[in-house]
Parts: sequence; structure tokens; C-alpha cells
Amino acid sequence: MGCPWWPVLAAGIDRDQPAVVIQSNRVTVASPGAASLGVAAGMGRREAESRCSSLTILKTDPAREAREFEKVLVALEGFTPFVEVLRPGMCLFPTKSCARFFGGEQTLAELVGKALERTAGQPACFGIGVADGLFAARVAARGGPDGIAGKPVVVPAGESAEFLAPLPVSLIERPDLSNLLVRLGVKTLGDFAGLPSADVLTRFGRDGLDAHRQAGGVDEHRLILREHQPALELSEELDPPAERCDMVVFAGKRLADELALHLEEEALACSKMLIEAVTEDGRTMSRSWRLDEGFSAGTIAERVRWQLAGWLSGSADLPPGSALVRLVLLPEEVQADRGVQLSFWGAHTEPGRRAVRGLARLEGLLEPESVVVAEFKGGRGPAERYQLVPAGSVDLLSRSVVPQCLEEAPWPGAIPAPSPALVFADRAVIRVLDASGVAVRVLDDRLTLQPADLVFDEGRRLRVTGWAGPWPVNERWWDTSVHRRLSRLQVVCWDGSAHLLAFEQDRWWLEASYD
Amino acid sequence: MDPARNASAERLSDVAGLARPVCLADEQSLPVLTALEGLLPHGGLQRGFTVTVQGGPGTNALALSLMAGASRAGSWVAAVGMPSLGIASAAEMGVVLERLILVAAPTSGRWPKVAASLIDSFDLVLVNWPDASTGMVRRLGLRARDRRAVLISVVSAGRGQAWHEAADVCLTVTSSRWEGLGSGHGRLTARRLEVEASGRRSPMSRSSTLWLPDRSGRVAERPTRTVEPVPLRDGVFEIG
Repeated sequence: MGCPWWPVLAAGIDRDQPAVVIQSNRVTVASPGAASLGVAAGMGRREAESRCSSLTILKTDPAREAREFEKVLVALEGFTPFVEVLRPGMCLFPTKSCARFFGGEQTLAELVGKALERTAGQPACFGIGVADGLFAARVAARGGPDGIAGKPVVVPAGESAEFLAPLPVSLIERPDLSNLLVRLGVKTLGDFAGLPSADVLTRFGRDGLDAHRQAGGVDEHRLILREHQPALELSEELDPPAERCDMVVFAGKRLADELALHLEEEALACSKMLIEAVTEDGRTMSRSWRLDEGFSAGTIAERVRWQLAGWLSGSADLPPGSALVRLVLLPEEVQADRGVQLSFWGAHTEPGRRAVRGLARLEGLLEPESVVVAEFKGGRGPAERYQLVPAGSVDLLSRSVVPQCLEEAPWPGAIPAPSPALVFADRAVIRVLDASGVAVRVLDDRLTLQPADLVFDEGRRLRVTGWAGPWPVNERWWDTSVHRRLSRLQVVCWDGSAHLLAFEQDRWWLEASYD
Repeated sequence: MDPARNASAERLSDVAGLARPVCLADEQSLPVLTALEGLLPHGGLQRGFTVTVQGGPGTNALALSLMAGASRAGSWVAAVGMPSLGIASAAEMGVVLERLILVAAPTSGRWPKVAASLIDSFDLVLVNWPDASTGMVRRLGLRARDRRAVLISVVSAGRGQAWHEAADVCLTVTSSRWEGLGSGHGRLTARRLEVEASGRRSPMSRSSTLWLPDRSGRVAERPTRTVEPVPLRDGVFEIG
């Protein structure tokens, strides 16, 4: 079952509202509400806005999508324990055993549909399909050719090939290949499946052969699978027990690296991975993730991070306070590593790979926390706009920091550009004096006196030649535990330096320098 | 294949070998923002160079803007020992954050290994290691030359003498003036930065006035008014 516009739903937006998810100024996902107004994936941001003025624009946030999807998965676990996740918004499970229990595949699919509607709180947002192979089931979940209908599509056993045959060849999700096939006159999946497989292999290689098998309704996964070897199971005890996601991320990263190394030594690629965590009170939570082209150390670590964020956010059935004591990674499906053909002009450039290899060498020298990359977070102050995350917990070669939202999404109350080149993490207390040496304070959002001198902690004294402010900030007043009230002041000193000061709890501190 | 064609193919490959450049131009230097071209020899960051950025306020912004051109062109950049680097500022200058790695300052014993390892794997390495010894700076410089990376060292005024001596190019911020802020009104909008370039590979001392940033947030060169001598009478010139 799957929901093609999950990223929109995960943000809590109704399916009929026009909303899109944007990455690098391109629409990646459009809600049905937006699609009915002519907005489609791949469209530029401005073009989408010109079609629909009330369009809600969301940013890609894989962590949020995974976290929200966890609720759906918990609902599905009422039917079967064998749920595996393809990506947030799409998952699959074998129906053979549980269909018998629930009285047939059709009944099961309808029951699942109802359960999902209850979870999502709105009707008909998930497509449900039952078919022989993974590919056929995925196509069925889209409701065949006419998009998602309200009810599940069940393809009887053994009829997947006939079900797929009249559908367009573009469904194989390999745009290069399907474009070529259409130009060669192969327009439907049936036409493609009718070609001799030896010819397909010579012309299109391994990947083409996989697509050919899919088009013929053959379960590609059952064909090339090997039983998983228990020797590949890796686990780590967490001591002290982890209550927050960031406490487990490094353990996850270590396990991911070790596992990737093991797989490499055995010349294996893992396409399905079980992530398991044991809580203090002895409960076990587990979830399978699938990545068809095989997991790398970076992608495993990323999946572990998403999954842990899902478990530890308290949104699932985990009672708050029960920490994790053990983390297990178990490759469930392994196959001979056939390698991945990288594109000639692809994003995976040599400098990038060289940098990633270099960082791997640094690991022995430095703590994992000391090598970090920036991730956009958003906020008013210069320190809040970006957060630093350990480089080991992200996929360095294919990530996006989304810096364009700096200019595009307004953040009321933010300090305007240019931003300071130095942002201090520790709060160095500073004194602001007026011409006669009396301390300047902020009262009712106004300065009590005119600032004339800055006195730094180490005794250095600078004459102020210009200032602006105070700019008051009143953040999260609805929550007393995180409520902040402060005022910011920009000052220029006679030596040409400029600083950003903050006044909080009756004293000034140096927040940033425009160095 | 007949022997005549074989021979001509061999000769052709010989000629091709002679005609091929030893090193392509864009492999020799990393691009920089247009405004900074005038400050650097050959208008770019030569691979293998050690560049020291020093002086008063504005040093860090200048270092960030030096990285921006190469970062935009696809280079990966590492900054080590600069925990307070403003990420938003880097992004505004044009540094591509997807290819920026920040490394915390290692303990003094591990500095050489960490710096060397970064030089091996990044095109551009920004370091803030004021206590480095002369020998260590020289060794890192040689390593950068060997690996064809650019090493940029940021030192605050009065420190890092070793870096100053070893620099192929030494950029010194001589003055910085912010605009847009009055007494109690306005906001910082633009800054004028006077930069002087010297060093072993920059034989003539050059200086330049930069907008870092200008009012639109970009890095720009302030058009310097060239003073043309105006002939008045034969042999007598008035400067004005």
C-alpha cells in the first residue's frame, strides 16, 4: 500500500487542499488538490504558484515524513508483523497468511483501508493493491491507470502479467529506459514483457533485465534472493540507556559502517534491512526498510536516524521515558553485489567521493561529534538558523541543505542579512556603558541610555560609533519551559568592527560578530 | 591491419602526445569570485598555494569569500578549528553548504595528522591554528603543494607569525567600515574593506577596496578611479 503524496499528508495538510513539496525550486510532490488545478511534479516553483495562488509550499523533510509514517505502521501491525517500509509513505507486507485469517484478500484490503483512514483522519488517502510481485502490487496500489480510486485493487494470484500488460511502459520508474522504449515503439508493459529476455539483457544490461522481469509480473525479489546469514547480524548495547535520538545516532553509525564493511568483504549487497531496538522494560520494536539498489553505510545510518526519530518522538506507542538499551541491525535480504552504474554526469563526483573517503580516515583521530555539517533549521537569531549535525549521520553525497529558503520564506523578526561571520556558542558577558560610564539596559523595549562604550570580559574597551535597536524577541511564550524574551542590538565600533549583542535576564552578551 | 596504417597510427599518437598540454588551465587554479581576482596572482587560487588571511575585523568574512568561488564550482571545502564560523554568512557569500564540512579543533598533538588528512581529501582547507610551529607550517604547505590543494590560514592580528612567513599569498585587511547604521536607527547594510596582498608569490604588493558585502549582499569590487595624467604643455604634466 502506498500514498504518493505522503510528504504533504505528513505535514498535516488535507489531501484536497492545494499543497506541494519543493526541493531545489522544483515541485517533487503535488497533493491531489494541487493536481486538480494543473500543478504537477517536476514543475518550477513560480509556474506552480501561477496556476494556484493559494498554494501551500512545504520543504522536503524526510525525518518528519518517517516520524509521521510510524503511526501508520503501528496501525498496520494490527494485521501482520511483517511490514516493511520502502520509503516513508509506502510499505508492503505479504498477504498469504493473514489473508486466510481475515477471510480473503479483498476483505483484508478493505479492512486495512478502513484502519488507515482512521489513522490518517481523512478518507481515501492511501492506495492499496494486492498482486503477485512487488512491482505489480505497487502499480495496483496506484489504482491502475486511473490514479487512486477509493477502493483497493486486488489482482488474483497468477494474473499479474495480464494486469500489467495494457499499462504504459513509463510505470517501470526508469525514465531513461522507458523514454527509449517508447521511441522504439514499445509502448505498454505487455509489449516490453513480450521481448526475448536474452535480447533485453544484451541491449539494456542487468538493470534492463530487472525492469523486463517486473514488466512480466515476475517477483524480482524472490528470484535473486539468498537466505540471510545470521552472521551478518550486528548489535550494540547502549549504556547508559538512550532517551534521545542523538544519543543513539553514533551507535547506529558505527553499526552501519561495520555492516557495510562486512557486506563489502562478502561481495554482497543488502536490499532489505531490519532495524530493531530493545527498550529498558524489555520490549522489542523492529522495522524493515527496503532500498532496491542496495544500502551503503551512509544510507543505513540515515534510515537508522529516521527510524529512531520515529520511535523516540513519543508519537508511536512507546510510553514516554522508556529508553533504548540495545540496537540491532539485521540484513534480511542480501544478494550478490552487482554494483551500481553511476551516471556519467552524475552528482557523485570524484571530489565528493574523495572527501567522504578522507572523512572516513579522520574517524580514528577525532570524536564523531567533532566532524559536522550544516542543516537548515530556521530561526530568528544567527545561531538558530542552522544546526550542525554529525557528518556520519547523513548521506553526504546526496543531501540538500535547502539554503534558498533563506531568501524565499520570510522569517518575521529575523536579523536581516548580511549575517555575522562569527557566531559564538558560549555566552560571553559584555558591558554596555553610556558616555558617563553608567550601564545601559533595556526597559520596555527601549534603551535606558545611549550606548557609548563596550567593555569586553577580558577588559578590552571599544568606543561605539553607531547602533540600532533594541529589536525585541518574545519566543514561545505559550510554553514556560522554553519561553525566551530578549532584545538584540547591532553596534559598530570605531575600529570598524560590528557586533550583535543580546540583552537577556538583565545582562548583555556577545551573540555574534560581523567579522 | 596493414603495416602502413599501423605506422601512421603510431605517428599520430606521438603527435597527439606532444600536442597535449601537460596540465590544463583549470586544473592549475581554483576559481574565485570576480571581485577577488585582482588581489590574487593570475586571478585565481593557484593549487598548492598557502594563503594567509590576517588583519583586523573582516578577516573571517574575507576568508569565507575566498572559498566561495571554488565551492560554487564544485570543490569540497573543509574548515578546521573554526567553531564560531557563521553558517548563514557563508551561505550568503556563496559557499555551497552541501560541500562544506566543519571540523572542531583537534588536540595539539593531533593537529598535524588531522590537517594533513584534510589536505589529502579536500580541494580547499581553511585552518585556524595560530600556534603552529614554523616547521609544521612548512610541512603542511609542502603537502598542499603535493596534493594540489589550497590551504587558507586565518590568523588574528599579531599572531600566527609562522603562517605569515610561509604564505605564498598573504592577504591583510587594513581597514573595515560598515555602512547603514546611525545613532539608534538603520541596520548594517554594506561594508567597505581595504585589503592588501603581499607574500612570496605576489611580488608586487597589490591593494584593493572591496564591498564585502555590498548593498545587495554580494561581494563586489569598488571601481577604483584611475588617475590619468593630463598633458598641459609639452613636457609638463598636471596630475588631477
